[in-house]
Amino acid sequence: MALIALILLPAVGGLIAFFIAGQGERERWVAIATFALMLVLLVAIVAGAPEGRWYAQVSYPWVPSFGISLDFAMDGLSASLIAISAGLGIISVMASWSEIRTQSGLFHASLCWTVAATIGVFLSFDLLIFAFFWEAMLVPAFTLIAVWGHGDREGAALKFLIFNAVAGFGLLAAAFALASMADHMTFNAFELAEMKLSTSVQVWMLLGFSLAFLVKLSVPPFHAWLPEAHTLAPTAGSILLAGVLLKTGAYGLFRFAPMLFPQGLAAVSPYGIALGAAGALYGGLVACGQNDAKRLVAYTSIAHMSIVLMGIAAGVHYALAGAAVEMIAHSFSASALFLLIGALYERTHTRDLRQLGGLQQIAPRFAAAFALFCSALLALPGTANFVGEALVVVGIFQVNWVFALLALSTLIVSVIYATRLLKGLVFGQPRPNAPLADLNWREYWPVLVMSLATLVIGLYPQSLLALLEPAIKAALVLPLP
Amino acid sequence: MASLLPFVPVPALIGFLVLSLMPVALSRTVVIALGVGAAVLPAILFAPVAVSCLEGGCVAGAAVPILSIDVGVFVAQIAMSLDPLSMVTGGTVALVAALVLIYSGAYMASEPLPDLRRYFALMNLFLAGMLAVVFAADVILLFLGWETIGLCSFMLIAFYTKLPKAVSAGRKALITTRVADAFLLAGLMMLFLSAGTTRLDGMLAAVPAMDPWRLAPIAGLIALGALGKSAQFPFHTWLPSAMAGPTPVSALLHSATMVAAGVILLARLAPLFAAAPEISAMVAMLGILTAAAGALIALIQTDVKKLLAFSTMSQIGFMVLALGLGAPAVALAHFAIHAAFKSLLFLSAGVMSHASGGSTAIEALRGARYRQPWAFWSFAIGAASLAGLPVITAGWYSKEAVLAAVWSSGPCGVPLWLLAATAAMLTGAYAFRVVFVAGSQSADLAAPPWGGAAVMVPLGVLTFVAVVGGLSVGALIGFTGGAPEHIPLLPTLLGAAAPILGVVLARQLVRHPRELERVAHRLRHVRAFRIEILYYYYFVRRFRTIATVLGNADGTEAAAQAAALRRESIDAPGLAADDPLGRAFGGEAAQPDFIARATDGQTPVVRLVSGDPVGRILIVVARVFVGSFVARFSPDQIDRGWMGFAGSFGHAWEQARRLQTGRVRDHSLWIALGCAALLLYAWGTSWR
Repeated sequence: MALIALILLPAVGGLIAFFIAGQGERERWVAIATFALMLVLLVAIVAGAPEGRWYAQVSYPWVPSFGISLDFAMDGLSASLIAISAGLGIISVMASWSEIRTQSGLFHASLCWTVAATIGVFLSFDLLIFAFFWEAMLVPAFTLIAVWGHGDREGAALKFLIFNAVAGFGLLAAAFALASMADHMTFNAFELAEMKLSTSVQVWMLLGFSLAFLVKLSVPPFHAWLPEAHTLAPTAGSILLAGVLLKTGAYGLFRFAPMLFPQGLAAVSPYGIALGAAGALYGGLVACGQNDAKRLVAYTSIAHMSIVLMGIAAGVHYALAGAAVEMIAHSFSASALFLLIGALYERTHTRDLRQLGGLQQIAPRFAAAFALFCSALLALPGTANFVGEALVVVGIFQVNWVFALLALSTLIVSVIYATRLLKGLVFGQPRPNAPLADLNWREYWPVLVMSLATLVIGLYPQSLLALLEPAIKAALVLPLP
Repeated sequence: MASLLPFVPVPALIGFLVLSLMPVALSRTVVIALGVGAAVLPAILFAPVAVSCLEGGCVAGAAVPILSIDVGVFVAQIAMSLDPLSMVTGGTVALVAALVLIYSGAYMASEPLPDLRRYFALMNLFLAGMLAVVFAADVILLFLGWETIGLCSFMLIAFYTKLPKAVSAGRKALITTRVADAFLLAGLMMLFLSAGTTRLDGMLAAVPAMDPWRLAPIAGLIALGALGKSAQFPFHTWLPSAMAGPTPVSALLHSATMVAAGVILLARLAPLFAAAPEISAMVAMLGILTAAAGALIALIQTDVKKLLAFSTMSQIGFMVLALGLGAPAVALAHFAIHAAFKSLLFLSAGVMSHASGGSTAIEALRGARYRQPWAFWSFAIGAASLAGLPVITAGWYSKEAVLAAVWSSGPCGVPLWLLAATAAMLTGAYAFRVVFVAGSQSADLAAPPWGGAAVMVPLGVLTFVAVVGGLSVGALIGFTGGAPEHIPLLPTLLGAAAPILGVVLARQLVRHPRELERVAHRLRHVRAFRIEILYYYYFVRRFRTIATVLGNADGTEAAAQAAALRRESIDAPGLAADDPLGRAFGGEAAQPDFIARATDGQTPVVRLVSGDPVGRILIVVARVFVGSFVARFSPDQIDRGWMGFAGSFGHAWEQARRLQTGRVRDHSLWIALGCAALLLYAWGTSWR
């Protein structure tokens, strides 16, 4: 029951924010209160959890004749992703405090509803309900980009919607096919996992699921929607897109591919690793060539999500643990960079690296934050990103060392784009040569929290890995070569 | 006292945290006191550890476990070494760092307060990272420290952030060493997977049982990583540019510590390399190549810091040579002595240039002997030690040990020895070239004296070590488990004569600057260096064509982007300029303001080969590859493909729309065709 409340809370919070919006900042506080309540509820669930993998499970039959039921369950992986969603929700509200001045009610409602739908994705174990939430999260995210974005925002929003909705049909079709193959029709993932399917059937089903997941992960060549959506979205939209929405793709792949199609995943594993390695290199190389700081960060997201794909496809213990950590690490580093770039854009009205610089002299807090998160981008040891990437690469060494060397070459590309960002923003002559307001408290505290999270996970990864271990063990289906 | 070991790096780390994070304005005195204190404390903490070790408390390979963490996937064992190797390296690092930081308290005192604070914070973080590298007995602590010093090096080289040259130099250092780090990480990961432990001693214990086909790539990858950090050919290009940082940074990072990290790593993993002889041979080759080429290029530098940078590269080449020949103890002895005299050289050069109006050009130092006598004499003593003047300097003892190890290293020993002795002679020449210039008379004597106890004490201590440290070389080699080689009298005498010959050569070169110019001219026309021009014309022209094509296809934006990338993707000073020949050979040194200062009124030594032509080839190749890839991809062709695909729907729709003519005869035609199709289908099924 508590799990359903976890989904309903932001949905209702969004409604309230929508209707009470008006003078003052009420809707902002409602949104913050909603996300804070979610965090409290989450902590309560985890604290009162029984022994074993599942913190909580509910199952209500809904349409028994078609085998549709409300199946929700939460383990360490879902719990950490939900905590990040709620936390980034609060951060998004704070980041858009001065940016969003029109239709503020709808904006905050969209934020809440995006989070509600993603939490549905993180909890559902009924494939039809999963697919419902999967499609549902596109609508409020579309609104966020199309209404409050910059530049050609309608175009970017449409591109985002079309790519993801079309790919979602792959998921839906495969879910229907899978449900009809069971003895009695069911969408329950646990029951479907018991089925003995031939490898070729598994591969086809996996391709259907993967279409949706890879587009959401934005692994090249399926990434084309992401750079525009991230760049043109308002700051809060970029934060949620990078920190939460991309993670649904990673989560789906991590959770359902090994669970439902173990042999199928083993069969396509080399192709998955190759696709991920090529994508990581490609995303990194394109990022090196960007002049728009936000677009640069968007392309680094592509590179990092490709590394997650590599980890999941490799399917060995190290790689899976790395992929799980990388998901979470990327949430912090990318969101923080989007927040910082958004705050800078509000002050200077440009994101062009050639027109900025010298923050180190005019805004030291900005500069320090950029330095830290650029270190995370280039996976410096001590940051969470290093833990993730290093574990993925160690895992891939166990599978195939050629792929592993390819994966390591992304480390070199990452240092080029990260230092380019640093050189363009932090070093050099102060540009614009005018006093610049340093981070205010609404920007400072989120950045501080995300820095701490990055460093704590980086220096003390077992805190996170212990939480994720059951989910990682469950995803571990491939035998060691 | 061994229990103090884990706390040695802690004061430096605390110093960094306090200086960088304390949200309180600190006064200048407090900042300097904190920064210097945090760097001196590790040396004080280290002293009792070293004493207990000297009393017999440690053996080779001994390590103290610090933490054992079950990460779930594996058990991470963090440990610190307490063996002679870590005592020698740790003691050197702690001592040199403490002295350099004391010196910088005076040298940097005129910087603005925020910059001063940033300087000390970064130096302290660097020291903590370096101590972690030195004491690490497991790969996790090792790599953590390794990358920390890389990042700090970037930030410190780019310390004068307003200078584009400094920022580019910092980026170049970080990117180059990162390429090497990727190799290192790969090697360490493979070693970890083969041995199943993160402890270095455990890994080395697993080496004898390993398949040689597996061992060679591991050793090769680790060697490449170490050589990159140590600025050995072909990774060396970042080190000369790194001189854009403040002088104390060069004195600490780019002489005694960071570039020495590779040497320390190779020495620590010596058993691994002993088991992979072909990799050791490669290491030795790269070492001697760097030692000789570095000495040659140092000879024709016009900037004293650049000269010292190439000298560092060359001296570390000697250490790498010894490591490749299986004599880690000798390499470590040379490391300790080199750390002392090289930081002495940088620090005293800093004082001399301070008194010469801040210029680091060699010509600008003319007359320094009369302006700053004690700084000049410390520099001269450091130079004597660097040259290895026999018997009276420490450098001779350690270099002689290296030469002896080379002589007795087997069939290739004699030719290698000849090369190494030539490099030793060139070392004498370039070191004393500066001494003779700085020692000569100059009209300009009116410079304010500068310096105080904070400058005198470090110079005094280092001078002392650079002279009498030689007495300890034999003991050092024995302590770290080696035995000095005894070689015939003739090579010993020749080895001792080489630096003296070098000094004579230097005297001649300074008296006849045209000779030096002729040497530079010759070098400029060595065929190998010409390859660079071919690369330039071939690749850069081609690159411009690509950029133009892209530009026409995609509007001016892509062309501008490509042009910006050509300049920025990997920084190669001068290559994007319009005058490729002059710039390619002159490099940074040929920039007009520098020439003006260096050749002010004197016989001009114009356009020397100071741009490190050998290394430039690599940069051009890397730049062209990365640059052309990025230029090709930056408009994101896949995205365009998708948009074209989406556009094709529009066309299809246009076509489909034409069917809707609204005319009855067209509609009836479609109905008739549909009926025909259905009849055809029915006919097909009726055959069953």
